[in-house]
Amino acid sequence: MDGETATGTESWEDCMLAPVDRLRLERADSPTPGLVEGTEPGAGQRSAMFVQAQSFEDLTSEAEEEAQRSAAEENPEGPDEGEYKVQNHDFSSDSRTKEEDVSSEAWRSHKKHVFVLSEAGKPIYTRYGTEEALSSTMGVMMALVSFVEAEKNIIRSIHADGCKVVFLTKSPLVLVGVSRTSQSDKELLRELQYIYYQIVSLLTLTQLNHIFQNKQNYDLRRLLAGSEYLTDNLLHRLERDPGLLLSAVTCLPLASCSRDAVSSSLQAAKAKNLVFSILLAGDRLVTLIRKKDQFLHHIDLHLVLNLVGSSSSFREGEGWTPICLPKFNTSGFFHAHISYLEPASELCLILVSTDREDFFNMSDCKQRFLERLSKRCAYQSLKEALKCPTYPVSQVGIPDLRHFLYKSKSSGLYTSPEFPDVYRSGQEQERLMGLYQDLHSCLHHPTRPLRSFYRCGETENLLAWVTSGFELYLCFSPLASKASAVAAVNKLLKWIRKEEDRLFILSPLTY
Amino acid sequence: MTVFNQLLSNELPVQPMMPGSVSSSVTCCPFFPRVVLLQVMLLGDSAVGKTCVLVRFKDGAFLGGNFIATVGIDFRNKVVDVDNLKVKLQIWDTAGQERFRSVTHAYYRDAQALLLLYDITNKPSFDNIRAWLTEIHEYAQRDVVIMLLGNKSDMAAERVVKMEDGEKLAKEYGVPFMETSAKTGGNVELAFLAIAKELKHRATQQPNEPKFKIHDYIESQKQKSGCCSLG
Amino acid sequence: MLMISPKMASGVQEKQYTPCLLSFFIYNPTFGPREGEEEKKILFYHPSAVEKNEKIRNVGLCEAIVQFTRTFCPTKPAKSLHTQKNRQFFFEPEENFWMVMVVRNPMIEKPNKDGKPPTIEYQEEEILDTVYGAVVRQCYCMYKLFNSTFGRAMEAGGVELLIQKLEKFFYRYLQTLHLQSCDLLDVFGGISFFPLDKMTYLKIQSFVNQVEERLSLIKYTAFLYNDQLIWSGLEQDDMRILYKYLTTSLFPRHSEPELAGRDSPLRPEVAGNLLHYGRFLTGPTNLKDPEAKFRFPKIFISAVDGYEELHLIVYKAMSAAACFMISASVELTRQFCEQLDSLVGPQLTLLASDICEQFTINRRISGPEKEPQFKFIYFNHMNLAEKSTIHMRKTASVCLTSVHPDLMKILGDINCDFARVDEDEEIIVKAMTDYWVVGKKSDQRELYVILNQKNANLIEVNEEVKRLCATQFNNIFFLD
Repeated sequence: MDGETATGTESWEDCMLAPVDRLRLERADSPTPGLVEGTEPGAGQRSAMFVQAQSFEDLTSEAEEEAQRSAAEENPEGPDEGEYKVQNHDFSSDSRTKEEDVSSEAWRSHKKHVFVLSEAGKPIYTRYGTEEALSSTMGVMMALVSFVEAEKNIIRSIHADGCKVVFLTKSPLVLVGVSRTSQSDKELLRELQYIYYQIVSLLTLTQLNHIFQNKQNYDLRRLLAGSEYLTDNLLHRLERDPGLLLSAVTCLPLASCSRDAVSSSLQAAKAKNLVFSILLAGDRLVTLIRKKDQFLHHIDLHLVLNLVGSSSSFREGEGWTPICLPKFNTSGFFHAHISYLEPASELCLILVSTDREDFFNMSDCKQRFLERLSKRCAYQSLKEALKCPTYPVSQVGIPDLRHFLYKSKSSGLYTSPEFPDVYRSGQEQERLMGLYQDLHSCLHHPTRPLRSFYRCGETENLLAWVTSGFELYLCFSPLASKASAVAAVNKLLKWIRKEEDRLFILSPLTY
Repeated sequence: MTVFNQLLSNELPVQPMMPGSVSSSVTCCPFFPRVVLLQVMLLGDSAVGKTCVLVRFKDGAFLGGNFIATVGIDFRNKVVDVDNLKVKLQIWDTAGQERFRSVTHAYYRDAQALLLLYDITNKPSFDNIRAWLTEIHEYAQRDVVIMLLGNKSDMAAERVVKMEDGEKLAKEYGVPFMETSAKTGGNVELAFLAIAKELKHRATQQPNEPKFKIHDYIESQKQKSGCCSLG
Repeated sequence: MLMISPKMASGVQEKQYTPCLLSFFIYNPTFGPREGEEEKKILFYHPSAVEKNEKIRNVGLCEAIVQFTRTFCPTKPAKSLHTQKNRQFFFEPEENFWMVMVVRNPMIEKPNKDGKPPTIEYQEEEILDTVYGAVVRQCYCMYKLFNSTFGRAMEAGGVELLIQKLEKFFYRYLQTLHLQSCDLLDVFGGISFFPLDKMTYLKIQSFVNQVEERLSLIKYTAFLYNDQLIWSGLEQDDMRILYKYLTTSLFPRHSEPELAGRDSPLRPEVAGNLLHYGRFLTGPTNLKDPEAKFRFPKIFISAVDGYEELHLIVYKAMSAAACFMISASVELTRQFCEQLDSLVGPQLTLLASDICEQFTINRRISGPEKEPQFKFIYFNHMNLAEKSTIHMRKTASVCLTSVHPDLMKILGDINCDFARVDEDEEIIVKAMTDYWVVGKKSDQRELYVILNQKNANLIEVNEEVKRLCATQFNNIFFLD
């Protein structure tokens, strides 16, 4: 173990971690030294499952610029007026408690408001209060946007002490966020971008454009009726879920042999138009099989996670719903077969097909998957694993370490222990997430990015480190010293390397 | 009719027997399929209670609390006994929202029966019934069985659609009608059973057998919504 | 033959533009509430050549932004508007009076082939709100130092007088703004104190007491050496803005003759008289001139019942400068000035050489100056003391820093971080260029250190900063 001890004292700033190097040699045959992308702990062995997203920056790139993968395209369902013969008038039946006085202090002091409006200034969504009551406020928002636009300029944000307003124009929609958090403009824009994609995933961009080209004054709430809870939930997730911050997803810890058995069972249950098969345990990925050459973008996957996680309507039967995956293709719908393996189970299977008429084929795929799964006894071990979907940070064995986030850049997967008691309450959890968000935006500053960031405060000490292979965010007790933080990084990376085949999906499959 | 015959299927797994069930006699008969498969679709505006009616029928429970919008369409099975014959109902619960219209249209033509619901406390949902019927005529099979249901009959205080108006509309289109309550369960079972009977009769009818009259059957069985509140 | 690759060629022609002042205006929305009267709201507009309707439009946008922000924060007004091309900073120093500064984002102009107009890329993340917000506040403080409040001008002569005063002041003042070199020091707006041994300090204090006693008209005195403050009888906030004026405007304007004067041992006109280098930086340039005017600039400082109007006399001998402030109600005469010159001139000359000598000795003790591995900025919110080894020299026109602008902006980012939470904090970051930047906040004090030790690790950096604190700041910072 001489080598171990020597590498343990290696400083983490060097961007070169000997233990990783050693393991890399065991895993890959390229002799290139150093920690390069694709060899970090958690990196997949074969090809990645996701689009190689350059995390943060990728979000701001125009969806339209995204290479259109036409293989799975479907004719966009351009709505002609005839299709809307049956009208809904039941916006009021919405069960959200939105009846809030929009001139009240309580309404004003919400931590984060989000508004969506059309370019004609018509309200489409508000997180708090009713759209009707806010129509004049949204009118002013649109006026500000157009006024600045008339000067051949673009409005970005307004800043006041402790409050900022951020604008995002995504024709034909305008999104406005009002935040009392310390998040940077960039972070807030990223969140608005998510909301935009959420709406596109319900309607497709083609349909959105078509609607507003035909009728500028169209009330989009008619088409989005009943979907507000998806946006509400997505906003909630943005405050709580590290995956949305890191542009990554996390996996159900599972022995690699079990995961491989589940994966190959799912791989075998294929069909002509099936593009993605996703097995989830709650918000955690168990496995994901994709068509060769087709990649799922993490944003699209998060939209799927949000849809499944927000709706209890899939609990019992088999759901079949059109869904646009905007990072894949903004113009067409996929159709997703969504069902839980058992009503009370956390395991949810999502089969994404290109064909609207594919329900029975997908239903059949699910049956075949279940049969194989039970034959291989993998179902039992999967159910076992469900009993401990998380792990306490104490497993890592670093006394001062309270919590961490580790993202493998090449696989787009992250791992993180459960929140310790200090951060158990929703409020504390959001505070910690806020701290991570701050670290994240400092490290990924658009013009002044940083390699590492250490903050020593009264309530906790934080350390963040980004390399070409991974991103690491650690939270220590405020009593931890800098020396112990440095040592912790090395120890943690070793631990993750040791546990990687349980915490990550190292061998993703295609059909 | 050919479509229907295809649905007389043998390949379905045997459903668990109910106590006192006489289905064994059916399964013994070599000329008779064990299970009849029927597709039923629930339609109507968003929030009229389609999912609640389905859950009441399937699980005998009421989904209280918050409104959960169905996403796309939701597919569930329930096996019922019709005149000693097992009938497997494949029920499509649909989302009422406009944006899911195209996916529901795709499955209209597979349905043999449509339960069209409105909410007696919501006038627009009743007014939209005509539009729904137009759509049905456009997309569904010609001989599809349609039944009009005025749901939420327990909410007498908030009623805005009179029962007579429902009856009148149903008569105009020649479809059976009743008021239901997913909350109390009033007429829910009957609605599904009536449909199952009608379809079963259509499927297995012998030339000299008397025709099943769904209207008469309903009239004889249904409880007026008033009964519950009086009782 | 010289070959230029296309990329190189385009690189050569790429033009980089630093942030610059697009416009600066002051308006009061209550002055032209009716439609068609909007122009009346505008009290000052730079550049004045802008077409009337455009002025009205731009003011209208600001009003709308301010009004809109109230929907969400009725008590906290809008401070800035970010757009792709520029940033606008809002400041309401007095009720309903709004000052707005519009700064164009830095940009890169990339030429296009085929005669197409060049592509302009705006660098939207380069301007720090805290820095330019502070610049606007400074503009107002400087106006107030010489003119008192907007409200006072209104009382004295209505809108006409206010417009006149604003024109007169800002026309010249705005030319002295150098937006491209503003940084963290503008946020602090601190005062650099001259480090001095006790003996010399006592000498200065007794000098001040003596002058104030002999010339009882003097209400307040301030004493500076080498552009650094040693003694001040003013309130901190007044001294802060006066200090800013002296060090960035008045002293630099007189530095040239000063340097020249040092070569010739004595002023010719006083050579036969008392031996001293003293001269007035404000007021009469030559006391012997029979035509000399004894008019001094007037300044306004805060007083218990509002403000106090004072004559500002700045008198300098070599590197030592004394500011004497006398109530504006008194008329200053030739006799008084001569008296002051003869009393202060010789003593100040002596003091200046004393301080210089003392300073040199101290320097020798602390050893020869070698280029340290670090540079730092220190600021104390309690006494406004600031110290920077990053800024080589601050003049009216430029503020030269010895580090890359990106590092200065990282300091600014850390400062914003500190400002958000009211607790002690320490931040250590490593930039992409491998420089380490350390920020410490403890008990109203802030310290920022830039270390050029690319191979150091977090622990070594921490040790280095510890050493710095021990030697430079007597361990005032809490250390772990």
